[in-house]
Amino acid sequence: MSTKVKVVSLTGEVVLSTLHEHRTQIAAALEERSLVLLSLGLVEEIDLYGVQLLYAARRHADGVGRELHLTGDVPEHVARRLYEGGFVSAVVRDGRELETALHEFGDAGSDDSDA
Amino acid sequence: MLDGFQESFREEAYELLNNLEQALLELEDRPDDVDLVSAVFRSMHTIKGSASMFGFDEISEFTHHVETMLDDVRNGRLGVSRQLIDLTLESRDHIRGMLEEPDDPSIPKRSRDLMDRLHHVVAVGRGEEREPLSLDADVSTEVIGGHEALGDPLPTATAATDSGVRATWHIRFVPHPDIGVNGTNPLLLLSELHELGDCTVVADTRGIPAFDAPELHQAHVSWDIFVTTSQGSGAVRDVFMFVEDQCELTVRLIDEIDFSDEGEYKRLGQILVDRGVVDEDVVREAVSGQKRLGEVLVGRGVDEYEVETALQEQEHVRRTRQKVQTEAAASSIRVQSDKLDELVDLVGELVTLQARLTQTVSGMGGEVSTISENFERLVGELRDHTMSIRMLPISTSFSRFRRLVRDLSRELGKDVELVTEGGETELDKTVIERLHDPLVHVIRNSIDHGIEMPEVRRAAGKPSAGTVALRARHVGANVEVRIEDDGAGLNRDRIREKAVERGVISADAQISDSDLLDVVFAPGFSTAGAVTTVSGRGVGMDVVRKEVENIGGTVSLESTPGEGTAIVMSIPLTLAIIDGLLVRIGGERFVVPLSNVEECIEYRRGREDDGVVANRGTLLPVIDLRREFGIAADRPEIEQAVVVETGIGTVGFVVDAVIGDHQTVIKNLGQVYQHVEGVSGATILGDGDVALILDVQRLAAGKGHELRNA
Repeated sequence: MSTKVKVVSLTGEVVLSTLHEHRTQIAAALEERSLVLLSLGLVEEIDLYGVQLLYAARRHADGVGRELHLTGDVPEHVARRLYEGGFVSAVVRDGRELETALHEFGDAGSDDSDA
Repeated sequence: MLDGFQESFREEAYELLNNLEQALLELEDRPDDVDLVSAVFRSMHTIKGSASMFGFDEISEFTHHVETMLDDVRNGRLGVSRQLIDLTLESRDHIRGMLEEPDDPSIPKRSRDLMDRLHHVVAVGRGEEREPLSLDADVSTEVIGGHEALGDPLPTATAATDSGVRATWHIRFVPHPDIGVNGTNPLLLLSELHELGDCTVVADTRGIPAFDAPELHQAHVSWDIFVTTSQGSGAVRDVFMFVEDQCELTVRLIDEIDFSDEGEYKRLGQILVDRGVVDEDVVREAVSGQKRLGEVLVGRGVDEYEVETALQEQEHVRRTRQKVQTEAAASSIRVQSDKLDELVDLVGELVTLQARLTQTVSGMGGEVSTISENFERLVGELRDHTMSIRMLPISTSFSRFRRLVRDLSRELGKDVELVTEGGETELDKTVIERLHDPLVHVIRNSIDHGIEMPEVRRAAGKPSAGTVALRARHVGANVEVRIEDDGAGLNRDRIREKAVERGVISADAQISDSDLLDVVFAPGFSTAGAVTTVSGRGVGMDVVRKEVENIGGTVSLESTPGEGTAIVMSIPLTLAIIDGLLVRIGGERFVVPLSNVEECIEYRRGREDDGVVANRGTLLPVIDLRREFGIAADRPEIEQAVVVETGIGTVGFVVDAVIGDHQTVIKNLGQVYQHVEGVSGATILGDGDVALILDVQRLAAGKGHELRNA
């Protein structure tokens, strides 16, 4: 199964101006592999459009029969941004935990795969 | 029999009723002040809640109905009229009556009467008549439907619209899709909201476009935010100042933090009804089933997100209230004043014991002296802290006179404004309590005799509205309280005439202006032409002087014809423990209140005992205490004169020796000695002996003429 996994590390700013670049990166991974792990560890800033991208990517993956999960550490400022934006009800610093904590994140939000 | 909790409630309720009265009186002057409207409601709401909790059902029910009647004022549908204020004040008095005489059989009738009258005024105010509200009306119906005005974009009549009042706001923020075109990141606005206070944010992510849709470059998330802040709606709206035309924004007040509120907030159904999401009927029907209301409503097609945010609202308010109550409980506690009195008594005993200890170990040296010194220091600190607990701002007394001035001026057909200044000045609570009656006397006199009728004032070129001013300030160790009016001033010819008539002075007496004015304080003296229900019976000013002197103070009078009169009271800060100067005459010891002492000088008796001594270039009147108290022991060759400011001038009290300062716990003299002139109390010394505390004002009064001309 490991050959089917792709880890996508989002780096730098995940904001409106870089949205296209990150979307292409995730789309390519989902094309290639059935399981994509999205790491937020190197994200320097995230805005509303970046958050929308995470939600859209997850829902897209669910829709096309792929799996997309969050992984790795979540930087403090990203965790705080998500909390203050009302997407989670507490500051969550772990990608796996974040995935289950994000409201309405996806069908399998609290039903993690065996990846 | 009332238990402890009920007694606590009564104490709290009296305080709340005073607050209510103040707010109503101020509202009368500033009927558009939404802060005051809110303060009125807060007081009533708290009284209602607490009364219900402690079993005062009649009070709770009555207050609830008054609150309901006045709801239109809060919603901005009814203006504040004088009649409305009158009736609400009357209702407040009625609640007080119910607290004092809960078994009074006339209570229900009076409640109904007040409600009917209130209903009439409200109906007339709204330009409509409606059926009288029955005292048996269903409370729950009012609660569910009582917040329809909250649907407005911004509440119009609540204190929370301004800063200072802690309140919870529900903000619905729906950015336009193109809000990001100018570089706006809505998440930063939410971060800013978090800085205002406790914040719960719920994001609605259901509208996020598909992964490959171009709309992903637009904003498609909206928010429901619950923020609890004391910074007011202005601060909340300021966060969105630059995006107002790029979003849909509603800001609703959902809760004002009230310390009396129990943990329970609105029920889920009520929140959804208030929001207009569901009808009341749907909720009633849904709650009749066994399932949880949220599930039932979602099953009936109610938006799940709305139910979720309603639950979040409930949780946010519950949590915030709990936090506020915890903070309040931690920051202050309510203690019965009797317990404070007991504490002061005990500290007094400790101070006496400490004096005895100090005297016993004096000269011993070594460790026991060190322990004694430390003990003395600690007792001194304990004394200061204990006394400070009993200190209250004099505004607690001043504020009670607003109603007096209002009612009296109306009764007399005058227009009188009460001005207060220095209300933050603190005095011992006992002093404040005992100052109340003298102040009432003086204020009544000022309004009845001082302030002229409006037409007279206008003819004299004065504004038709008169002013009574209460001013307080620290002067040395005393507090000076001035009661001033801008009325006609005292008529000296009339005073002289009455004084002669009553035999207070002889017809040909040559007395100074101040002595003439002082006649006003003579027992039974009154220049009033007619006895009114207000004053004029001549039982006022002598009682005032006596009461003030009983608390160790002095009272004097200043008056300028045509401009007004001022009564000046000088009041000691406390009555329980004072710093004193211990002096000796023969084998007797006396205490002079240290706050009055200016200096001690040597006194060498001249060949003629002329009652004065040269001091600092002036002749200082002296009082020979040996002679005053009939002490027979031999005089020392060189005596001491304790120079004291008495309020009516400076005088020297001649004693044999000055021993030193002494923490003086004041004890009453008891019935037998309480009328002894020149002594205001007694104290127990370290060796167990009793020393009398000198009443320097009373002693100096005999020298009054000399003092005033010195």
